[in-house]
Amino acid sequence: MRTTFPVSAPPEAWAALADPVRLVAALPGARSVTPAGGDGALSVVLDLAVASVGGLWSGTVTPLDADAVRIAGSGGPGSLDLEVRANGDRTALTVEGEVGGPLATVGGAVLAAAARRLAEAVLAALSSPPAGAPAAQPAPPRGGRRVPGRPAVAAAGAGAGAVVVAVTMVRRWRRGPR
Amino acid sequence: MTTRWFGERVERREDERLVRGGGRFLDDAGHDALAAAFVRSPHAHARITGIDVGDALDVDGLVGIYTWDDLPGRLAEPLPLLIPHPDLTHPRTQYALARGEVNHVGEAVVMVVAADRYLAEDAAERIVVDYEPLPPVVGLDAARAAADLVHEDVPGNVAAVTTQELGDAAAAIAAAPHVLELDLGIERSLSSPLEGRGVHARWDAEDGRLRIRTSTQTSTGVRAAVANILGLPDVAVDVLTPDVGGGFGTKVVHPYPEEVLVPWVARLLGREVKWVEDRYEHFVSATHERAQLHHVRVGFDDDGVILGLEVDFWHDTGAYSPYGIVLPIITATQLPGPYRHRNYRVTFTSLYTNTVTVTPYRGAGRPQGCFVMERTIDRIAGALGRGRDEVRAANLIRPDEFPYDFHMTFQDGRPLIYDSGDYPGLLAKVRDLIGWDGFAAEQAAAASDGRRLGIGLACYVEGTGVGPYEGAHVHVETNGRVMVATGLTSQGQGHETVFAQVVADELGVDVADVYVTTGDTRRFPYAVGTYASRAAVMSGNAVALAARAVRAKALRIAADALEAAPEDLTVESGVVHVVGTPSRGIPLSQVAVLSNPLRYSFSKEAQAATQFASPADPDVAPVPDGDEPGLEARDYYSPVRSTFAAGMHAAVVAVDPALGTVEIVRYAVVHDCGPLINPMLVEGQIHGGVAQGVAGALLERVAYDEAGNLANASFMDFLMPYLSELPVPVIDHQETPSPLNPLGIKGAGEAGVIPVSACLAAAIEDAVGVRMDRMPISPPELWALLESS
Repeated sequence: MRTTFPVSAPPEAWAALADPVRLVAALPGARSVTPAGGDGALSVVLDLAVASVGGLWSGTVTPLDADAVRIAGSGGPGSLDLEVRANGDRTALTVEGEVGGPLATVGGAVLAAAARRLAEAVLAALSSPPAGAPAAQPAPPRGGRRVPGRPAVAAAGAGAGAVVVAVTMVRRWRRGPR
Repeated sequence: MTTRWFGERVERREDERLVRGGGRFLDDAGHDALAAAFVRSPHAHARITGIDVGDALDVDGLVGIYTWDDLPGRLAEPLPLLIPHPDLTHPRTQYALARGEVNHVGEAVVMVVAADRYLAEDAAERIVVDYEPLPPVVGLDAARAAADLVHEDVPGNVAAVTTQELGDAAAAIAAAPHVLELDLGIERSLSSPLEGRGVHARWDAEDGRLRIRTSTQTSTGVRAAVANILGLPDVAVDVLTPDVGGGFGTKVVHPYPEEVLVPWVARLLGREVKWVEDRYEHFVSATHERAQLHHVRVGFDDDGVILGLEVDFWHDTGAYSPYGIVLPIITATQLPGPYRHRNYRVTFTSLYTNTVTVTPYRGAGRPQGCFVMERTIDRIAGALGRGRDEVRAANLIRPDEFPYDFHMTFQDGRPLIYDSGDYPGLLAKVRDLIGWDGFAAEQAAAASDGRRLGIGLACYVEGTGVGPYEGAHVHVETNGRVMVATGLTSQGQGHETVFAQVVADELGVDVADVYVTTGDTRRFPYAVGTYASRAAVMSGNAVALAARAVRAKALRIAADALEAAPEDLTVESGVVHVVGTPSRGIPLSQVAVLSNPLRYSFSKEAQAATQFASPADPDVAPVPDGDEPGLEARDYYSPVRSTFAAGMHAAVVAVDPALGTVEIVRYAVVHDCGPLINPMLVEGQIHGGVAQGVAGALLERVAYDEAGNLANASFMDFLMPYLSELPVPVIDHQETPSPLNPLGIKGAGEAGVIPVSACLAAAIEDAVGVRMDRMPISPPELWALLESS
């Protein structure tokens, strides 16, 4: 199960995905983004909200190769174990893997749309020059769910690489209720 | 002093609840439930090329959005083919959510779940579905031409072709002194119950149980289908039918997509979810009926006696065929009516169109068959210059000819054999009731005043009480209440009343002490459903049989207590006593106590059943082999074949040629459904049926445009009649008992609607002298007919 969608961002945006400081500012709902280990992996904690599912999620983003990361983790909204891969010329992202828990009940189309929207938001934020690195605080919602502490996916001020993509990870949730 | 309830005009037990606002309909449940809404196809025929839900994410309270891709296991497969048939060579059923293609306007594509219906609709509105339109096939002419196909793998749009034949019709017509050919048509309509469909589901994670409330005509059918599709044990699924505001056939379809999607998503989310159909959804997604074209060849002698009849007809089954070919089979086998046929061949072709799926609507293929047969008889009479009543009389099956075997197969797969009736008796009654003999003078007098009056007559036979079975459980509680449960459902017919009347008689109790539950799988898990005018026949007899078993047990237990022989006992007013000695008796409530040996008493009365209460035979177990505790019994009624009710309608109309309007001056109904359990309720069924029949003849029709848009999908444009448009029929009954069931009864639910189009067409034709070959007829259409004649 996988979803693919077009993206458009300058090279500096892609490069900034690996920068914890830039990423935490760009990623909607990010609480923290910190290096984890020496292989370029990042630990990410964020408030994640998709439709009526929301809550604190933590996980790691691990580079797999030059074009792909694995995003794995869990929390109130559910578990994710996704591979996010950009195509060669970085004009599209493919997200593929497992989604579990409440996130797996919102419907595949919602996950796909949320992933795309989050990826677009993060890449758009990283496409602008850094503006004094705002601290790790949720960006003001722009029209998503107005639940304090749960910025909507739609909201998103900036975008972060892996995690963004991670959420993007829209794998068709597993068939069957759990 | 035995009171007999059967045959009494007992007031409806359910009405106090219903008229005081105490009814509990589907939408009265689940106030806090999440709400589902559906994105439905705006195209009659199209490929789905994309679904974008991005904008819907901004809606507060959105819980989930589901497409076919999300559906697991069997839910991703086409919905069940409910009634397979060997001649249905190309069955097609829809997916719960469209899979890549839509085949009618209104087909469900996306399900949205949100905190309430407003939000769900808001989100649904923001979902963008991309379509690549395909050529639509709309109407029977387009379906027959088959220039385009509804389903690309169904050649000629043909779902099924079937022929049945009695004798040799072609040869008989060839040899007949007179031959006529007619083309006759009936247009599409729909049930339009006051309350639309609706489903409410709750998943109980602790107990692992799914509870479904649904506005259905078959709760056991829904249970079996949903349990099967969702992979749940049958016993983990309860289906309850609340008060239902009318069904008229369309609610026997199951599971509708919503009926399985809502339970699925309720379980997925662990939340209560509800969907209530709105009126537009009813028009475009609840099933329709009626559209058929017929070609008739009939050969007859100088007296109008039919020698041979050949009918070819084309049935519009809509986009899918979940109900198989039951409808055209009913037309084919009920078309012969009350007439003797020696040579009859009927062939039908069931065709797909890009319109809402067709399944039974009250009458179910019979109005069309009746229209064809009765128009044919009227034309024979016209050709011979004989009276229309006279030609009918010459063809009627006589009372001494029953059982009358057509050597055909009825809609239930059983032989088409009329069990009983008195058709000449019906004809005599209806002629009297409408004033047939004096009408010529009345017509002439009116004509001299410039009024154009006409009289019409139409006869029908209706197979009712089709199997396979129904069952019932009757339980006399220790408080004296008689609790009755039967599995089929109620949509307002008054089952709580008539079944209570039957049980009250069988048990010897007051009708007020009998409490009837229908359509709850927790109370009675084996049932078929309420359709085909079968409830009174099937469950009426089942409750009678179960009550008889309870009575026998009560007499046996009471005989012990009273030291009398069971055959010397009777039950009256809830007391078992020695015949002729009312003082030597015990109440059924006490018999119920004694039926259940106790260790622990729960009331003063119950002490009598405890272990030290009375001396007992030390060698006999408290519950002997073959016995069971409790004053209760379960039994089933399963008939070998249907029982055939009959009736005749007659109408006098006045046509205004300047306006094309039709006024019904008077309307007469003679009906035979065997012994009447409750004449008031039968009359109510007739009133409602005639209302629906008049609506179908003069007002209502489903109007599709060439693109397959339903052009009148609202009550502004779909002309449901007011009371002011409806006649109050005068009614007479004939009671010819059926030999096929213990109560001798026949169904009455659909009868009123069946002959109305035929009857009014005949009356209009008589008034204006223009052939009426298609119904319904609107004032502009009638005016145009008159202008062109």
